[in-house]
Amino acid sequence: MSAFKTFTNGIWKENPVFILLLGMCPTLATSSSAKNAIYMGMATTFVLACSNFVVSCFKRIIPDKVRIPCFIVIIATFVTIVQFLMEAYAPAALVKALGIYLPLITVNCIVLGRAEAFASKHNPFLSLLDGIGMGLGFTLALTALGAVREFFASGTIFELSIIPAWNDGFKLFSYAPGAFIVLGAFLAGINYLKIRSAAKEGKTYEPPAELNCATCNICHIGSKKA
Amino acid sequence: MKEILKLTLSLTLICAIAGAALAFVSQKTDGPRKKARLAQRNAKMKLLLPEETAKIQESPTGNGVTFFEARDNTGKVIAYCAESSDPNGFGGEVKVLVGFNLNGAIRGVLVSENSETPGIGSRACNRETPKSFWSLFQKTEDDTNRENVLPPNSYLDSYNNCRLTGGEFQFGIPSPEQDTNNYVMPITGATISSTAIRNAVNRIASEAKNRISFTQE
Repeated sequence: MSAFKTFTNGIWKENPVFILLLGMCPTLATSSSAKNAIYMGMATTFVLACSNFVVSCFKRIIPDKVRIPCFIVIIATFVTIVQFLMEAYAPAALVKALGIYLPLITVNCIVLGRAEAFASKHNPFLSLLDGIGMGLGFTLALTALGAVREFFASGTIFELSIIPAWNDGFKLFSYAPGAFIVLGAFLAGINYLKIRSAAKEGKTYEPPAELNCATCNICHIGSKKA
Repeated sequence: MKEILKLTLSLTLICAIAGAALAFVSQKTDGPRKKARLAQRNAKMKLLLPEETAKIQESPTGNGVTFFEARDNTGKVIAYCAESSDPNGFGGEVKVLVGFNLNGAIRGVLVSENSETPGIGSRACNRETPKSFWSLFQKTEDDTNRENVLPPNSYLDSYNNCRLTGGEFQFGIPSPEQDTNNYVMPITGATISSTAIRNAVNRIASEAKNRISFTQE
């Protein structure tokens, strides 16, 4: 796979949130506002790129049987280093906003998933690119969700009020149930786009195998009617 | 047997490298981290203390309350600040900073750390001026000198000018005789957070009465 393709793969074609559906817990928890989402995305991108690179460098000395604990140790190390560096040198507002989210990155399954699925099979350069691409995809998806949720919950985007009188807006959207609803709407929209573009090319859209569409008759995703 | 040894060795090696890297970074950033934490706390206290404050000094503390003396250029104490916490917020501990004058009148109350529910309990804790999207295109004077002013919060502001020397803080409608009855107005729907803040302020008040000799005025 070419370097450019590896990089852009994570942003749209295999977007970790919208397509791979990885890392749902941090997605739902930290997309409550656009600002939180973008900070979380940036921190995750850094950890993802570093851990992908290191895992790829060490892939020969990591035995297959204990690879998961090894990955976790590497990821946790980078998360702690980021935490130390940010506490020491980053602006106070950023540290405060990211405080509780940083340790969450350790158990973010995007990071572990990419170490397992990509970095342990490819060279360090491609792994680094994959990490940055996936991280950017995660950041974009999170920010999009965060902006929509923040707008409905308080009438603001990036803490700038668009509708001034909406201070105590639709609070449902600032909690996990609201996050599920917005995420569902996004996924439906993306599936619609994919089905449409597949139809334009005269092909039938193949839904991901893990959705198990063969046994379900609800949305007719990919069938000719849709 | 040979395989177990190999697995153990490689795991140990990776953990050792990780440990060494962490120890190195931790040692290198220890000084800057402490400095940053101190600077953050001082920046918060500056908002509660008079402009003439030149030095903030920690003074003897106890019972979960930390006192700070604000001194001016000549070294005279001009105001105090105190930090305390209450464990019974809705999301755990709530840390409160109170700045007060030599006569015990509160200059301002600030919540320095909390994990209250955003949009509900946080309304009792946060001091934030809402920024309008439209103000990006139209800069007013308010926007430029906003940095040095304590943003409003109706609950926290109701502590202003109450006396630490007076009675215990209670919820109720503030009355003219505030010297004897300290009434503050909690925020509807954020009673638990408001109560936690009130308890922390009361702890500071009772501790201040024992330790600081307030001027009569």
